[in-house]
Amino acid sequence: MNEFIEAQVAFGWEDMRSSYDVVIVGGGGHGLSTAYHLATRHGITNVAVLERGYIGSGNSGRNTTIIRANYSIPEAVRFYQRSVDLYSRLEEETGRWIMHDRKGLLWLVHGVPGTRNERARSIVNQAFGADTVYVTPEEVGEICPEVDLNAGGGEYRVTGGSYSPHAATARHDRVVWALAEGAMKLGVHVHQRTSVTGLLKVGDRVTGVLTDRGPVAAGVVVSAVGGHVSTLAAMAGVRLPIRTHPLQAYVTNHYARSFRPIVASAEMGFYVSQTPRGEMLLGSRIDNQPSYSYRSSYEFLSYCSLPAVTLLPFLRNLTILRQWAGVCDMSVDMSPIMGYTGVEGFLVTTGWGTGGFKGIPAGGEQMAKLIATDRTPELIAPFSLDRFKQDRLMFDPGSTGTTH
Amino acid sequence: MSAPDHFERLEATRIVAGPRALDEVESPAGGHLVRLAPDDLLVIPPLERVDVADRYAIIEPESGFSAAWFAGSELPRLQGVSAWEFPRHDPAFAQGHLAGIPVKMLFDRGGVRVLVPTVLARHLEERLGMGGRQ
Amino acid sequence: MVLRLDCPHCGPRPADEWVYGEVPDPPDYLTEGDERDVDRGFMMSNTEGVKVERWFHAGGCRRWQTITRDTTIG
Repeated sequence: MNEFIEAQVAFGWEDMRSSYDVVIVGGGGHGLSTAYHLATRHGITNVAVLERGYIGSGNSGRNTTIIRANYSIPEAVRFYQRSVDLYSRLEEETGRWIMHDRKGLLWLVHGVPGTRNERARSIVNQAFGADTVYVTPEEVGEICPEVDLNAGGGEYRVTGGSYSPHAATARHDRVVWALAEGAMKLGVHVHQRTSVTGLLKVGDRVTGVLTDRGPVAAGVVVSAVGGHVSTLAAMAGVRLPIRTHPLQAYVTNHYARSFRPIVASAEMGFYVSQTPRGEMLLGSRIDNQPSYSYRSSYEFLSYCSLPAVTLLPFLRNLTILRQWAGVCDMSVDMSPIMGYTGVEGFLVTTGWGTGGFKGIPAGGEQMAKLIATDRTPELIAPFSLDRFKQDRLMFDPGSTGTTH
Repeated sequence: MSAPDHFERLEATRIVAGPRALDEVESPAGGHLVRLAPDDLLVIPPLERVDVADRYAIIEPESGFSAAWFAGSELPRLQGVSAWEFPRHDPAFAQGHLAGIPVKMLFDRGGVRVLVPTVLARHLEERLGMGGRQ
Repeated sequence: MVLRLDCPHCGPRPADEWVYGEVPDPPDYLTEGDERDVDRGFMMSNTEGVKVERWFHAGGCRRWQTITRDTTIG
């Protein structure tokens, strides 16, 4: 599918200039979205996106493509709801089919504490603009008949859950290519197979990047890398509250029936959805060890599958086709970090943890606004790096795959 | 029968003390000394009285484990649900996850005695496909 | 293949049996007290490469061990 879209991107792959107004490191969803919004919203087109591999080859191509806003703290609900809204308009805006599919998400619980959490979540969601409702076990059965409401012989009995009709999935490579094309059409440069090896500095100020194709001066350098952000930030003299962990996922063979919603159980530690090809796509928690390795493991298949077949017995009859890993930049409070770093000329959008895909449109939009206006937009002010210094952490029990 | 159908509560003595003091503890007749860590010793069966050359030693009755005996014919099946290699010779002691649950394993006379924290015994029975208590 | 960590007491065991323990490592250039405290509390080197780490062998001996590991491989 990459080749298919690439062939249709009819713009030249330009030579690299010696200087740009904005250099974005990392040609994944967030980097390209930032470039796209700089060009479309602010007319800033003297922009380069530098990508070590090919665009979307990092975590943008290694995630489970879930788009949702059902977080548990107001700041996150507002931010992700903005992203949900932008995603639902992206096809119309770019003229590209990103296979956006509103599936709805069932977040199931198996006891009193979880039930309390989901009631609270639905109240916070409704108060801050995301449609999430609390549902009873009977309603769970109506939305997703495949769920065994008495899972594990009653040990994981479904006591309720929250349902977010707004939740969706989209095709990951179509998203990055739609954004790349939209940005390039307006003159943004995307340089693939270009590694950043260092930063140009004048005093403490970052003035550009060193690449394996030579130095490039920049008015501002934005780190939108996934997985290597600590190394890049260290070159700027910035320390981040981030640890990088692998996250694995797998798909089964084709399930012949339509499985409509995304189903998650944080207590059981897995989530599942059906791809447009009919495969069942499963994910679980991050790997134990901090690591930059894309290695996948049998253990993951085992600890992800056991709860999955317990809650959704039909999965027993399917076969695992392939598995893969991405690497997630987990921040101390599991919330993203966007904006100023304290070093002039160096911005970050990072800490996307296990949920970067859903933040692509709003993350790029807000970072572009920050760059264009040189002020932190209100929507992302709570996610600034200086929150750690101020002891104003953004712990969110609604981010998944992280604490279980 | 080669496969047990459930785990049974095990009585033992737990001694936490300096490694050199633990080196000196003598095994009860027909029993086992299980070195859980350099400073942590499990004595099966429980000791009536014990002398440990460490004035700060903690000596407590330990009833938190349950145990079951698996004959040699069961070993390949157990190895199949473990991500680490069992010892090739016995007697030997090993500890780690079995079917995702932390266990202590005493390999002896071709078979193995598996110790599991009692709170997790039912889960291990389930994961090993044991009959369970009736 | 799953990552295995070599426990000095129990032998090589899969990472799932272990709990990772972050060791604060504020850099020398941070000299001011408050800055060092913020760094100790929240910041991490997140090393790409060989690193000495602390791991708790929860599924075995239940002791903290010091283990050297390459984070680009494991």
